This record gives sequence, C-alpha cells and structure tokens, in this order.
Amino acid sequence: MSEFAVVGKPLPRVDAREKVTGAASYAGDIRLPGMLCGRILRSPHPHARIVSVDTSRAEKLKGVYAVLTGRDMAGLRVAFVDTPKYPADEPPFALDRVRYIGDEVAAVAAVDDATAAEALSLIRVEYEELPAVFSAADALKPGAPLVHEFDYPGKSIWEDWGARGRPQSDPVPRKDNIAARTFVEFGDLAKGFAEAYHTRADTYEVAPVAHAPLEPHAALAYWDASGKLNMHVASMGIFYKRFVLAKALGLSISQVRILKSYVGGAFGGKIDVFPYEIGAALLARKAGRPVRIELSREESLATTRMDFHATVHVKTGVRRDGTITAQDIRVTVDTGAYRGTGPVVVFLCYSYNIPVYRVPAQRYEGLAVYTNNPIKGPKRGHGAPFIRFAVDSHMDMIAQELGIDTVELMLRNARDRGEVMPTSGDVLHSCGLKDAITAAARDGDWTAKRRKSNWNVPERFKRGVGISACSMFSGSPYYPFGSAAVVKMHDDGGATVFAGTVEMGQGSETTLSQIAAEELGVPLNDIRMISGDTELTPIEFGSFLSGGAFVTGKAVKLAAADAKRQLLEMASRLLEVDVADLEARDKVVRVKGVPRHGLGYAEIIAASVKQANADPIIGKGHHKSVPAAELHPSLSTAKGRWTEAYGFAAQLAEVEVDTWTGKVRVLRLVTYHDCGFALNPQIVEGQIEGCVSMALGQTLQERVDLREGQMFNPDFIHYRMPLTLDTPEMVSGMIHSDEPQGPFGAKEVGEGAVSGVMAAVANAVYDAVGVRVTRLPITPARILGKLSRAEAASR
Amino acid sequence: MKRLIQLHVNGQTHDLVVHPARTLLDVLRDQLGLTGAKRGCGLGACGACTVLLDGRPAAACLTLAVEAADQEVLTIEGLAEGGALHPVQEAFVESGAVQCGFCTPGMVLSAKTLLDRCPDPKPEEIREALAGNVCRCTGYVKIIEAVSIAARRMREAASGN
Amino acid sequence: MPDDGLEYHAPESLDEAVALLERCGPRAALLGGGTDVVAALKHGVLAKDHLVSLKRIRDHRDIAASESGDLLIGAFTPLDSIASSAAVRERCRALAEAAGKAVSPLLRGRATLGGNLCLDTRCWYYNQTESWRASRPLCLKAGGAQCWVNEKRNTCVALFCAETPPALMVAGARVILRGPAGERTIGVHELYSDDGLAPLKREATEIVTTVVIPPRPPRWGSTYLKYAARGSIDFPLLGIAAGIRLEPDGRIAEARIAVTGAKSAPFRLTQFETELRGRAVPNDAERGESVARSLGTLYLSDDVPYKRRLAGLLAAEAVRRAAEFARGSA
Repeated sequence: MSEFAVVGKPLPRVDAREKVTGAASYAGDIRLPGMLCGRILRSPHPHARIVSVDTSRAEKLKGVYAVLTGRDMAGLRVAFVDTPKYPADEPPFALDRVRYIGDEVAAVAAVDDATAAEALSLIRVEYEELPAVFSAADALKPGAPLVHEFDYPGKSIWEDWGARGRPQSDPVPRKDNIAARTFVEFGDLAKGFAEAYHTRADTYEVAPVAHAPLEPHAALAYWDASGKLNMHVASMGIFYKRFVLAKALGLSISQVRILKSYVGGAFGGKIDVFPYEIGAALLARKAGRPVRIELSREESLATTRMDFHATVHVKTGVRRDGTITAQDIRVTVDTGAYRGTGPVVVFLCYSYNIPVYRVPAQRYEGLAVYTNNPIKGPKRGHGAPFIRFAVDSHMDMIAQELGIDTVELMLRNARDRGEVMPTSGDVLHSCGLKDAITAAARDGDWTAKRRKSNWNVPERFKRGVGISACSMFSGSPYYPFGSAAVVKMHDDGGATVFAGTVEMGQGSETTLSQIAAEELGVPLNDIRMISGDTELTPIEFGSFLSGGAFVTGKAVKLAAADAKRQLLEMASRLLEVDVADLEARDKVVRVKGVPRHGLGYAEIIAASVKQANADPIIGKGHHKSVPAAELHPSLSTAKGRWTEAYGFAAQLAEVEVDTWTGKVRVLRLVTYHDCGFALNPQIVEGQIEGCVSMALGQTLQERVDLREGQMFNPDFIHYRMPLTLDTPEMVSGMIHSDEPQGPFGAKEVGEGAVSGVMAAVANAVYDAVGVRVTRLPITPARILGKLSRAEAASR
Repeated sequence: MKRLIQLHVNGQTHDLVVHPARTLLDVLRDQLGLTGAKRGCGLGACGACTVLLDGRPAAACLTLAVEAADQEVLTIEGLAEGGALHPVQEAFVESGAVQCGFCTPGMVLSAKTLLDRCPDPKPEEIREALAGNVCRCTGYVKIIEAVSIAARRMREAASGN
Repeated sequence: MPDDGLEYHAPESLDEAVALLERCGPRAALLGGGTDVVAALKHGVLAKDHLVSLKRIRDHRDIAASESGDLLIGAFTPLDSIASSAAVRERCRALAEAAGKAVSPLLRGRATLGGNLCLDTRCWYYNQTESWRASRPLCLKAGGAQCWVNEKRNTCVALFCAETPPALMVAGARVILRGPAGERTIGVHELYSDDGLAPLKREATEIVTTVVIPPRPPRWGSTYLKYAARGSIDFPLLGIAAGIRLEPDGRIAEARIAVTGAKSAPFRLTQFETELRGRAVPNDAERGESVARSLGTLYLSDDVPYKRRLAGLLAAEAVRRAAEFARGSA
C-alpha cells in the first residue's frame, strides 16, 4: 500500500516506550492521598438465603472507614442485558439471596489491606443453604430448584435510548431456569432435509474458560468537591460503563467521570458493570476518601465473569456435491447465577455462524440457562468459538463421508461479497472468506499433508492437518451507538486527537493516531492522543463490540478530514487558489503540480488565528456503528440490522499427536484474516498471534474446573494458560478485501482470529489419528481414551 | 513484629519499617511507589512481578521484603540508564512485542538476565528462559523475535561494530 | 495474610539457627528460597509464628567432592546452580534434570535443594485461600476433622510433588540433618512418612544441611522425566527417576525407579525393579503395563486410569534413557 504515508505501515506503537519502562499507569498503580483499601465479603455457598448480616463489629474496628451491604442499595439490579424481555437481575450486593460461590455480600474500606481483611472476618452472616443446580441439563429438569424465583420488570435503563418501554409491575414469578431464548427459522427445513443426499447430526461440548488477562480487576473511586464521582477502572468501553454506573448510582451521566488508565488486557472480561466497581464508588462516598479495590487473582478468575459452558447439537443436510440444503442447530449454555451475557451469546451463536456458509433453510434455537455457577460473560469471540468448533468439526466429517476434500466443501458453501444475511438484512460489502480459505490451505501445505497418516500402523507420533473458518462483526447498534472524535491543531502544525478509546493492548491509540496522521498529512510523531477519559473525549463506541478500528477509526478519520478541510479553506484564501487545486501533505499545503507554491500548516494556523477571529482549527468527526439501525437487533429473533461489516478468518492447524500419551503438539497454525485493510500490519499480526495463542489454550489445555459451583483451579498454577514453550510456528496472513465502509478499507481485528482454531485442531487430530474429539479442551486423556476404544473395537 | 530494614533498590538505599510477612512486591509498589512490578497472580506463577535480586530474576510476590534486605534489587524503572533504553527495551518497542504492557516489565527483566549470561541464545533457549513469564496478549511470537534482535545488537555493540 | 505476632529471625550461623529451633521449633518455618513458605502464608495455612531465615548462613551453598569420593551438595544451594553443575550432571544426571525442570526459571534461582526436599504435600482442597476453604469445614491437613478427597477412610492423602527426591533416591543419596543433639545421616527415602498430614520425618528442631551422593558404580546412568500439562510452572502430574546399572553384556544388573506426584511420599517401583533385574533393557514398544497395575490406589487425579498408564510409559522410557546414559559412561 505505498500510496499511503502512515497507515498500512508497521510503525512502532505510540505507548510502547511507556510500557517497557514501567511508566505506564494501570488502575492499580494510582495512589491518592488518604486512599483507603477496599475488600469484598463473598458468599461461600452456591445457593442460600441470607438470614442476617451483622456488620457492627467490623464498623467498630480501628482503621475501618466504611462498610456496606445489600441494604445500602436495596432494589438496585444491574445487568449487561436490561430489556423489557430480560430485565436486570443482579443486585450488586446480595439482599436476601446468594446464588453462586463468590456472590457479593458486603464490602469494607480500611486504612490498609490487613485491616480490611480483618474487618471482613468480623462480619457475621447467617446463611440458610438452599438446594442448588450446577448444570444446564439439571437446571432444565422439571422440579429443579429455581435460581431466580422472580423477574423484576422495572424501567430499563435503555428506555431513553429506544428500548421498548414496559409498565412497571410487581415482581413476576418465574417458572423455570431459562434465562434467555433465541429462536430463528427460515426456509423450508423439512423440504431441505428431504432433498438432502446425506444428513449428519453431532453433539459438541465446550468447557468454560477464563479470560485471565494478566491485570486483575481493579477500581479506584473518589468523589470530588463538586460531587462528581471520579474513577480509574480496569475496564473496557468507558462510555458504556459510565452510563450504567451513573444509572446504578442514581447520578446523572455528567456526574460520573472515568479517567484514563492503561488496561492490562480484557478480552471481554472487563466490560460488565461489576459489584466491586459500584462498591468502590459507594465506599468512597461513605468514607469521604478515595477507595481502591483490587481483586485478587482468585476473585478475578472465579467471581467476575467467565466464558460459557456450551453444548451444541448440529444437524446438516447436504447435496451430493456437499452444498448445504438445511441445518438445524440447538445451543444450550450454562449462563450462571445471573443472566450475564447469556441472552447475547445465544443470539451470537446464530449470528456468527450464518455469515460463513450459505444455508437455505435453517432452524436455530439457543437457550441460556440459569445455574448456581459463576456468571458468564463475553470472551473474545463470544459464542463464535463454540459454534464454529461444532459446525466445522461436523463439516469435516460430512466431507469425509461424501469423499470430498474439506477445503473444497468449505469453498462450495462459503459466502461471497454482496450476499445478504437472512434475518438481519446485513450485506457483505466485503468478503475475503474464500481467499482466506484458499490462502490458509496453500500456506499450510494442505494437499501435501492431508490424509498422509496411517491410522492403523502402531507408530508413536502421527501428524495431520485440519482447517476451519469463522466470521466476526465490526460493531453493532448498541449504546453508545457510535463514536465521535476531535482533532485539535497546534500552532506548529501538529495535532492532538481526542478519542474515547481504551488502550487495553489492542493498539487502538496507535492505529487511531496513524489514521489521523494519514488523513491530516502529518508524520505520526506529530500526533498526540488524549484517550480513555469520559470528560476529555467525545463519546466512543467501545472495543468490546469489535468496533475500535471500524467505528472510532472512521470518526477519527472524519475529524482529521474536517481539520484538513479547514486548513485547505484557509490556505485557499491565503493563496487565492481554489480548494480543488490544493493538496495537503507533510504539514504543507501545496498547489497541485506547483510543489514550491505552498504554505506550512503553522503559517496557515497563525493566519487563521489572526484573521479568522482566533480560529485555531479544530476538526470534528462522528460515525454511527450501523447508520441505518436505531437499536440493536432482537436478541430473541435475530431480526434487525446487526453490523455494517464482517471480518472473516480461515485457520489451518498442523499437529503431531503422541499416541502413547495422547499429547497434542501444534506444529504450525496458519491464519488468514480478512481484516479489510491492515492499518498497522505489525499490530494486526500481533492481534492474530494473540488470538491464536488464546484459542489454542481453550482448545488444548484451559478449563475452569467447576465442581458444585466452586472453581477448583482459581490460580495461575492450576489454570493453565499457554507459555512460551507452547507457541507453535505461526503464519499470520492478511486478506485485504477493502471494506468500503471502513476507514481506509479496514474492519475488525482483535476477535476474529480465535474461532477457526478449535475445529482446525480437532480436524487435524482426526487427520492424524482417526479419532474425533467432540469436547473442548482436547486433552491427552480424551484422545488416549478414544484411541484405546478404537483399538479395542478393531480387534 | 515489624522490623527496620534497608532495601537497596535501583542504586538507592531506603530505610523502611516492614512487617515480616510483607512481600517485596508490596513494599516496592506501596511504600516506594515503584509500580513497574505488577500484581498478576500472587503465587509466582505469572512473572508479572519479576525483579532482579543480585542480578538474578525473582518473583517479588513470593519474596519477603525482609529477605531482600541484603541484596541489590533492580526493578524495571532502574533498567534504562539516563533515559537511554536498554537494547531489550528498544527491541521490544520496535518489534511489536508490547501489547497491553502488563507482562512487559517482568518479561524485559527476564530477557535481560538471559542475555547477560547467554549472548547468543537460540529461539529454544529464549523460550526456556522466559517460560516463567506469562503473556496473554502477544502469543509470544514477537517477544521471542525481540529478544533475538536485542541479542544480536548487543553482540554487535560488544564487538565494536 | 495473618499479620499479628509473626517474628522474623536471620541467624548468622547454623548453630544459631538450631538454637532458635530449640526454642520454637514446632512454631517455626525455615526460609530457604521462601517460595513455598510465602505461598503458604498467603493461603493462611502456615500456622507458624516464627520465620527463621537461612540467608545469612554462608555454608551449605556449594557443591564439592569429599575425600571419600562422595559428592556433597549444600542444602541451601539454589536449584538452578544444581541444574547447571557439571559435577552433578556427571554424578547423577537425574538430579540435574529434576532441578532444571522444577518450578520455573523465575523461581529456580531462589528455590533451594533443602526446600525442595522438605516441600509440603499438596491437595486441591488445602492449597487454597481461607475464603475458598470457607465453603466447607476445614480439612484434616488444615486442622479440621474431614478429608474431602478420601471421605470414607478419612486419612490425609495430600500428594508429594517435589522433584529432586526421586532423583536422589535412585542414586542412593543420603541427607545430613543437624539438630541440637548434633548431626544424623539418613537415606533420602527415610525422610518421608507417606502421611499427607505430616509428610516429613524431620524433627522440628532439625535442619537439612547436606545431600550426599555416593560415588556411582561403572556402567550406571540416571535420568528424570516429568509429565505435566505445561513445560514450566506446573507441579508434576508424574515425575519418574530411573537409575540403571548395566552388566558388561548390556543386561540390567540393577534398576532403581522412583516416583513423585502420585502418593504422599516419593516411592520406589519395587515390583518393576525386580522384573527388570537380569533382563535386557526394554525396547521402544514396551509401555510398562505392569507398573500401572502395581500402583495401588491413586488420589487427587481427574483420570486415574490415564495416570496409571502414563506411569508405566514414563517408567519404561526413563529406564531406556538411563540405560543409554549408562552405556555412555565409564
């Protein structure tokens, strides 16, 4: 992309120097005078009635400045999803019931951590244990204990933003543990299966995994003299968070400020509004002093959010050539003790699947079920890992049964540019899916390496290759619906960009600076960024909806273009030349074709200040994530516009299986990611590599070990994330499909290269040893178990 | 019972009163304001709290402050000399080895000690040396590249190229 | 962590340290590298109010040959020094390998041999924070009345997971303990009780000071193999050391195979050792099936059949590897 001066280049990140010197500040690093340390008392029981809470002894302890319980916020309920159909269901601090081990019951603020811990030990809580359920299957059985006895259909916090209103009513008794349901049906399913040449049905299961960013959750809250709440939070989506916090605390939006901190990784695990955040704010108000709550690693892993336990049933009918005639999918997820993002994930398991292969007739049902397990939330891919693991494992078997090469089968079904999604009406304005599949197969030596292993020979090490594809959205019509940005020129022709992005590792500060620099015609070094502060920056969509590059990038580009337009107009007056005859590059506005006839930006700005009533040149830009849509699509029917652009990825895994121990070694992982256009190839590669590492962790070795609602591995010795030693050779390729709606053609990156890994590895294992593992993680014991059974069966 | 100790950190000596159970990490962060070493897991299983004690890597979260009293402590803040980045830091910046940055201080210090004792490490040796430092963002690919690049530059500088 | 009444001592000599232990032995924890002790403090399972640091004691930090040809390794030597020592590698390769695979590069510079030998047993109900453990009554090891793993028999089955002991056992190593009454020397295997609750047969007033590895016979080789989920940080699911002495004709004259990670003490696979005596070194196709059967009940495993199978596999492979080293040695 040599036509560009700054974008498309692998420039070093603008925040890297701060980070390598230890100067970068995270929420847990900030110290304020008089700061108190907060700690949370949590339920040790998975399901219990709170009989009494006595905090009197804690309140009297020397060094304790504030104590709070559920009584301090009676009636408040928060939730990621708060709609008339799915009213908020989580009291930040339990009032009468605790529903999972870790449920927040009380909080204290004290002079130091040891005093806070002692204060917690002085709080007396009397519990009456209740019967509990620990799996979706058990929770769905007739007569199962109800995790929630009532829904509380109060006013949704989103009614001002277009959520349908519903009159307040008394609590509505619940009759089951179904937290949410998505149902989609189109085409003639019966006919589709009837005309199928071949039909196959499979069931897959995915264990819950943890986000486990290296920075645990942390929040620092203080109230200033004007009565405003100020917070540093390890959080994503600060404008979303500010909105929900304000509503929860009964404040107006502008009475809440979230200030900038770098965030040490999030991957979806830091977007919810958490009780510890509300607790820090309320303790700070009670104590009249700043309060910082840093969650321990155990709390971060076991009591905030984790990824879902999911079961996927998929049945597909195909013609003789392998093209799909009908598909019936049922997804059941354990969403935990509160709804979390259960309603969203069961919508997404459909929405992330439908853009990949053409399906003329579909039936899809997704159920999110309450249990007394920890709460589930969005983790990088948010449903795409389960559904793509299931469908592409399943398609690999169909290919085998038809005698068709899997890559060929995928290409025959893969969607093309211009196709319209059936329920949302979204159009694939760009689609590099087929190119990605072809490229991954090519770089992974598919033809040379596929079906080369002899399953029946007693060789110890066997190799195989497998492939899978996935899709990802680029932002959705959800609060705050879009982003805005401001570009402020300085006297010297440099500029500062104001954009609300949170830099949590995805490189947004750098890519947005590059976009601004490119558009404005200045070197990257001349761009400064003010980010991550709700007071200092305009509204920002939030990377939690995969809209960082696509939505905020567009807003920044427009803001820079606006500033440039003003420069050109001023220059036009000064040079007495038409704007159309001017070009702006390298901080100089020149007359096209007359390189020596120009004015430096500094000169233009000075002239503007002197002649245009002190106008220093400030550009403004804004962009809505889905211009045509007012509100998010229906979660329960998937009808309604969802996103403007889809990213795609195809991933190939080459594995070596040790048939004696069952251990799988990934030799190579090839990714081709259709990101539209790589604004910074080094950052895009880094995102792909990080996605792959995390995905391999989920596929092979990570699992939240939940037993009767308790996480038995809540530390980093026993929750096993990939290490340097686990890194395979990675090929990280990009497909530039040039998304017309995206800034310089870019669309999402950062989430899309996760969900093709699972089935790629599972399919590679099958290729190597002929066993099909339908559960994640694919552990050595599982492989060995299947191998032994296969061996025994063949004798 | 609390004790008066002297900690030597980044070339400076500090007089501190600490409880025996207090970790070096707590003292560095909360009493000395050196927040480069991070709290990642509390059990020495992630490397985010890596500091150097007499030149060798240690998990500050599992080291009692009183135990570190007789040693030279180097934190990430003490690595760059007078604003000039150490070659490992420089290479991390250029190679895209930094994403969220939380593992970075520990990773850089562990890499530095590898290069101090092994100026020409193979990728496998780099992996082994960094096997106690967890990164959740990068997948390690660019980190290993950065360490190789830093090693090469340090060798070139040492041989006067 | 409990912050009240904890005393810290940093004696300048071993005598001083022993004198301290005489005063408060049962209430004292020894700090070698300290990693295990600090973790226990954080989990609230330390139950000690004296910390006795060994950091100021100059001795027992090196590796040297004695006049009689024994290799003497100071118990305060860090594991990474042992892993990289040519002398250790030559005398007992299994020990160098075990020391190099224990914990992670981050901790190997501080974790000591003595600390590793005296590592407490572990259990997924015990090595947890106080708030985690509040979900049920205290377990036996934490001072309660119930073992949550082994509810019926109600004895503590916490697992021994340290990696250097099996390597030392196959070399016939001894340990020297110093106490108020002086020194005593025992075989490494005699240090362990196989009781999850109190796994060490070390008096509260004693300190392990030295490990003694006798001269190795000709045609003797050893190795240590670790099976864990990851290549670093993790405790072993299984760690197996093998010491093999070969006859001149290549058959196995004597085999010693020791296991960690499976029971409450490191233990020898005596039945397998007997089977191996006098026969050819097992070939690649042998998976040690008899080992799987000889293990008895295994606790604290998610997949016992898998662990049994692995034990056989690793044992056979360790024997092969040790035999290879034996062939290559004088």
